[in-house]
Amino acid sequence: MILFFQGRITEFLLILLFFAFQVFFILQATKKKEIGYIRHISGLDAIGEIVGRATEMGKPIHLSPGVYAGFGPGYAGPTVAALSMFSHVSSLAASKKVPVLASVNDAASYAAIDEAVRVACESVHSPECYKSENIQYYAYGEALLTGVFGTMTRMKPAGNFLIGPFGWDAVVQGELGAYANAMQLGGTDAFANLSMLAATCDFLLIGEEMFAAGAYVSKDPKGAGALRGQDLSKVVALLFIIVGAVLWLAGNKLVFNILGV
Amino acid sequence: MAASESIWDKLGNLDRRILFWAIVLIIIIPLIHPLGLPVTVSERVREAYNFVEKAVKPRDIALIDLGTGLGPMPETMPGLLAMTRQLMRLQARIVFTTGYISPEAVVVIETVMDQTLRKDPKFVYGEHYVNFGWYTGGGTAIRRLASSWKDVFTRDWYGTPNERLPIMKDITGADSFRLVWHVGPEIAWITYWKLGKNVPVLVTYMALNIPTYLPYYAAGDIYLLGGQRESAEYEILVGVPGPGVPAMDYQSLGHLFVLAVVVLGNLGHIRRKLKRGTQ
Amino acid sequence: MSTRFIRRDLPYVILAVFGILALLSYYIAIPAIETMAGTSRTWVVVVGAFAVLLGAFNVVRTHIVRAYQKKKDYWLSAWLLFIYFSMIVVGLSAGTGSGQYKWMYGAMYTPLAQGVVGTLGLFLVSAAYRAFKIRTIESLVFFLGFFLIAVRQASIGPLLWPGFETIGNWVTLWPSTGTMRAVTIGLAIGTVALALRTLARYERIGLEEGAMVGGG
Repeated sequence: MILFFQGRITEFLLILLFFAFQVFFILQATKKKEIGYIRHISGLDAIGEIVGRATEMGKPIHLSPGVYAGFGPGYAGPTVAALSMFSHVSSLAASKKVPVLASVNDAASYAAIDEAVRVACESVHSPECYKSENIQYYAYGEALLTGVFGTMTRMKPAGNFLIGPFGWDAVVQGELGAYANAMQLGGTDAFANLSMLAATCDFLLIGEEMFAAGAYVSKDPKGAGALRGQDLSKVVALLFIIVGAVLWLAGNKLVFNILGV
Repeated sequence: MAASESIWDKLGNLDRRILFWAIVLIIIIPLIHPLGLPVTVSERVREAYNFVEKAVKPRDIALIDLGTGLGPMPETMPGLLAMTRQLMRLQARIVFTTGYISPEAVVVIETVMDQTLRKDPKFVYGEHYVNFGWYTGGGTAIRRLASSWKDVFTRDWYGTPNERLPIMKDITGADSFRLVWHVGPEIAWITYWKLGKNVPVLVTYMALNIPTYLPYYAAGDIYLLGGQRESAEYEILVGVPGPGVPAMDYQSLGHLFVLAVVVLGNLGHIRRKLKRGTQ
Repeated sequence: MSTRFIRRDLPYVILAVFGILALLSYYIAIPAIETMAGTSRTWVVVVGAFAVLLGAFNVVRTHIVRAYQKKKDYWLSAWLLFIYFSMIVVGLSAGTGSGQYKWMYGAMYTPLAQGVVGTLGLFLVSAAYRAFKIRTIESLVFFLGFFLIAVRQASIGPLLWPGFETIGNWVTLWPSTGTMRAVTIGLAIGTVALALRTLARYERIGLEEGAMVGGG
């Protein structure tokens, strides 16, 4: 009996290996053993600065996961990353009594972000920072942009977090935040729209920095361990690429065949 | 001296409203008085066109899927209309679907059918073309469509059961289609249809999203048309006038205006920096 | 079952069960797993549809309160509610395929949506003007990349100088594609890592109290 689909065995084993890396380093971190260097991610270090600015100005912060937010295939990953990030940002904001606004155009993401913000505010005993009318649901992308335009014009938030699966709305939301003089942190998995966020945001999360946000910001040793495991996974990918490319140039398809098993 | 300094300062710090009004005026001019700027056809567009010309035979079935809403349509509609007309000339049969996050793209499908297929009495709905409309589930649905079309669609968008659509006799899954033309950002068509079932995939979307597809194009997995310019080029190759070529006038002017504004802004900025340096 | 288990632990149990099922269904060729995963994917679509009701309720509640309390621009909320319920009534009574519904959609929503997306061009101009100020070597490279691609994309660019087409194509096909591949691989690994952490409950996604306060 064939247990695995053809062409997916190596992939499955690699996923198990990546998971093992993370578990190993998490356990190492839990036992307070040395896990190696984790570089600073300036975008994530700026979260405190942005929330601090909002505290000083007495203005709210605004969260938006983008027009493609949702839990469908392809968009679930960045949406979950956005959820994790928003949860932490809301906790920090609520601990400093900063109200939290959010604009979402997917119903399931709206429910999740509403719950995440509410739980985060209650967890730091600042339930007044969460108001259900501040977490707005808009039906379509165009309605979302119109709503964000209104929010930025009326509420003038001091901080704007644009994290998630953005599409063509990246430049519009970024510019609207810039008009409101908000300090902005942007991050998306869509490469084309990342450049738009780069042009409009003050801080940027590039590539997988967005997925590391939850682990990095928590300042928990387990988070650092998880990041180390993620980095080691990238090293394995890099080795496959370099060795495979060199062998391919030499006429050897070994790595190509291994990956195809 | 003071007046020229303040002009440079102003250039480096233009009010956004001036920029907005300027770009609107620049776009209006060619609408009123078309300039007829020539358009050259690029290699990538010619590749896609030649592939369709060679690959599609009469009675072959092509799938046109819209993964985007109304917003990007000005950029992609010229290519959509041109492709549909090309397939009609090749006597292909066409299936329309949309997997966008909302059913608004069905309006676009209706517009395309009104402007092309419904104008030609040789094409009969249900036999030569069909609109299955909106499906949910994104990549999951696309994967299921590849293995069994009837698992996702049991009737068309207007409620007609598959059994009463003659074209459905020849559709079971991905193997039934000669090609897929996807308008939008959905990579699942490449993953499940091209790499999984070896059905050729052509992709078109907004110009700013071209980089997302470039690795697949460079690997030879897809044919790619990016943005309004390449849609207009496709229109030229198909040879039927459409909305794309006239749009190139204001697209060109708009691009040149943006470049000019950025260069002028930098001149103002650099001059201010130099002035501060000498003081 | 305690309230704590239901609020805090049960969501993670459900997440773990269905997440692992979805993961295994892609790799393991056992029909029973594929069937269970397929059923759960259908449930996802159904649950997502129910979530729309939640969002719709939020819209109605927010605007009814605004209209009733006569807050600023309350008449806009009243207008929204009028259009909202009109579309529902027409859609339910005449059907979403009817001429009336299509007219309402095509005459009201379509032009407004395209108008909003049209502002994308305006925002791009102002973003480009603001962002492409040359301050450092990196910003100079940023500007040059923008310049070459913008000229290449304009149909008039290659007519001004054919080199723009060649250079623009080279920038698009080589440095841009290479970077895109690198970022994609990083994103894929990051997505896998995040998914595994979430399934194993090492990642907090706002479902439980006591979310960590950090970052500054």
